[in-house]
Amino acid sequence: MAGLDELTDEARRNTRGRFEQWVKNPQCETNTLSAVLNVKLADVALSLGYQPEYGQSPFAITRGLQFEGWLFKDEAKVIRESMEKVGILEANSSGFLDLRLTMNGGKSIKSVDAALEKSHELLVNLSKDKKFIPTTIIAGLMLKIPKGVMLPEATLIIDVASIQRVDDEWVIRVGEIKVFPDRGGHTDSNEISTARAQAGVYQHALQITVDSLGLTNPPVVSTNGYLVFTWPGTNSPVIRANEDLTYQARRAALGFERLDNLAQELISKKTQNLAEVDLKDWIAHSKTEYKEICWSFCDLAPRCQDLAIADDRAIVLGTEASKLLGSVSVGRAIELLEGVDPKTDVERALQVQLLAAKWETV
Amino acid sequence: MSTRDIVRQLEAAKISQPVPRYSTLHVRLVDNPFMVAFVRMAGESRPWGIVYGRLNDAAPRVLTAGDGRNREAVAEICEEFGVALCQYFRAEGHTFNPITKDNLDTKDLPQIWVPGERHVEMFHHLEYAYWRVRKGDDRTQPLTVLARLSGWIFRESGRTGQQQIIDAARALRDAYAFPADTLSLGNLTTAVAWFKEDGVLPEKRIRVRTAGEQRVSPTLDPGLDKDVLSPLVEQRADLLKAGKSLTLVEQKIHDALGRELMARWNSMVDAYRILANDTRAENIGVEKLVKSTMDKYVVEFQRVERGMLDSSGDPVFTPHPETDFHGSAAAAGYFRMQAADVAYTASLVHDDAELCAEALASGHAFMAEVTDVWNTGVGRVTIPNWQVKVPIGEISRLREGEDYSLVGNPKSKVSVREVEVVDEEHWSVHIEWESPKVRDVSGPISAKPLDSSWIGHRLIFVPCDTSALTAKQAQAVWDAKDGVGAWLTHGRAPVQVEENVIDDITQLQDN
Repeated sequence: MAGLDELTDEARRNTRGRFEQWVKNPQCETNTLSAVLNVKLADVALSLGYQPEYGQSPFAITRGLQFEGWLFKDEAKVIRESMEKVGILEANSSGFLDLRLTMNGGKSIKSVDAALEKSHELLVNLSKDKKFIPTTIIAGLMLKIPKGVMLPEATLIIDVASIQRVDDEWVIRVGEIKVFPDRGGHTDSNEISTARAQAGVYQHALQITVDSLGLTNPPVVSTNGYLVFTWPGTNSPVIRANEDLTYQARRAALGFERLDNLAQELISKKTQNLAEVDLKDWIAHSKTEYKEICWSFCDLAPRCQDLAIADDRAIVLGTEASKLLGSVSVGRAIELLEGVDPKTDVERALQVQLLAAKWETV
Repeated sequence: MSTRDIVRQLEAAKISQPVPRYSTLHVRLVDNPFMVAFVRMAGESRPWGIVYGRLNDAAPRVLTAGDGRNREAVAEICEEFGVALCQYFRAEGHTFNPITKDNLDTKDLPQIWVPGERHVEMFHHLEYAYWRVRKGDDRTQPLTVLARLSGWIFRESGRTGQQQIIDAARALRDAYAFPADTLSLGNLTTAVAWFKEDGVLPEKRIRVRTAGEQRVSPTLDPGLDKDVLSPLVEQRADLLKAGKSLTLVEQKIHDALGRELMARWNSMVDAYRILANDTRAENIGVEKLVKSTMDKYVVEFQRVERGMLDSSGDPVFTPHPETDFHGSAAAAGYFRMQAADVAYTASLVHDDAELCAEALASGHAFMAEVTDVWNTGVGRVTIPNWQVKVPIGEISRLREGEDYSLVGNPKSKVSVREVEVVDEEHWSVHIEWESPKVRDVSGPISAKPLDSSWIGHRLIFVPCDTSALTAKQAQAVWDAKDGVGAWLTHGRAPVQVEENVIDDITQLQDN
């Protein structure tokens, strides 16, 4: 039987992205397997002859790196000023710990293991060394989530975290950095909710990491996080402080648990060793659950739409039509609308609703 | 989405074509509107390229910057675009004949078309980019005027029924039901393809999807960025560093962006033509919406610009792009938006059978049979009263004290005095005519309300346009500043967001 432990090291490195991908359509087995097995949907699409469309523009990547570089330049001067202004840090705070890998713009940390070691050291020192004075801002805090969450173990990198002394305890708050412009009340609500959800995953991951260390006097992981956006058209940060991450963290906890169970269940069905399985082929031929939202993240959406079109499924008319028509095909619904005799109770109930809404204009 | 909408989708699927949603068009199609589309570099909010012009121009103007991150180059194209836009809008200071309340004519409605919602947002980004001025700056220079006009366009775009900025994709979605999901119709090329592509389902779906692969949002296809634009921009940077000529590489960038801009432009033109060729008439209520749009333009934009040009030097209120920072301003704005919402359906429903049927089905309107007519006026005063029998619908919102109009008579007003249950299927409703009382109203017959020949006729009553009353509440909010509790409702917000803002110039210097 296959085992999760046989997955590669690389599988541990983009846990958050895979989790967020899965959350978008958890009913889809193909999506779940892609997230669990860490096989990109784009690769599966290619194997089926579909041209993948998604990927980040090189300009967007550069912009993101530049923004982060600007925030953390000169001992994180820019982000510190903003954090002090909105009350995340007290005035005249100091200390910056840069745990970002050199490949991501960091200065000294060259490997994942080194970053993990430094991160671990920080959490332990906060717990046991009374004289320890931590830095107030940490970039790229890296966490190894214990076994049992989605994969044997997984790694998460927190964009930014801050440490404050509150009532004799060290309190860590997590932040999510996005280059997205904050336009006040007009800010894209999807962008805000995505950033908040990601911060929730960090909060949850940090909490279980701290819990798993078994420290005698562990630091408090605050449920209040913050989102760092840009002032439109500039590199100036706009910080949304005091974001309550309680429910997002709970969502992450439940999501990870469910995904973990699904992963175990799906993989246990395989009798072969995973190393011998053609993962792309397995994913490509698993059950799908096509939805409108698939177009926002999945390279297999055109293929699933093709299948839906071939089956004349109601989802081709959209989510609302799909909810109303259920398993009744578009063609059959048109017939029912034209008054043919329904064959089942489901069709009868649908026909009543459709005819009631097919009024003549007055 | 209602079941009615899904029925329309099924009807569209049956003929493999979009079908009209309503009996009339709810948008004014100006003869030669101004059209604009943007592209921007991924991660940036300012435009990298702009295509603009009038519909009937021989060719639109295509402007691009060599590098979308170069603020001076971007400002240059924005300034040229801004001048053209201000001239088209006959903005104060940009024409000898600005639109004012004295010469306001609905035939002169300035109307701007964009391909989709993200392009509307670009106006907000333009406002953010150029609205700030420092003490002593000339606030009438083109870029700052563009910022204020862009801000006004963006704010106005959210007001129900406005006729000044047309999101082409939305205009098509509002006018037609498509045999497709709503998400895909956010892309204008997809919506247009449903009209242009031949054939029947399901092959047509595939062809429409292929056509929709052409992006129309301001953000470009990452593939194009990666394969074409990124190498060119890098090449440009290298040449710049080496002090060599940029002409050739910038032309290549211009050509690549120009193709994208023209694709957006052509989709917009197609959308306009689809609506212009529609055989449905413009709803008579649209004229009222146009008048309201122009009134707002004069009061909320032109008046501010007039103040800017005034040499008195007094401060002139300029709305902040983010929020109003004032509880009363927010409350007044809320009432104005609510009034627009009420006025929209109330203006259109009298000339649109389908919209009227929708109002009936949703319980906002009611159908009634006149059973009695009498007068409660004393002496020479006439107060017509009717007793009507109303079938109890699945959804009904009929309440005592509410005002309605007889459909087809937008200025008429009746008030519901009493609602009584007659049996399981009917109510008996007493209504009193408030306007008109002695003039004819039209319906199946044309007669005075007091005429007994109305008895036996089945009539439809739709919600009365109470927007004027709601709009008055907006003013009442301001007037309450001297009333009880004003300290609570009229205090100024302590936040001054400007402190968080690093001035563009300062930031450039820091970098």
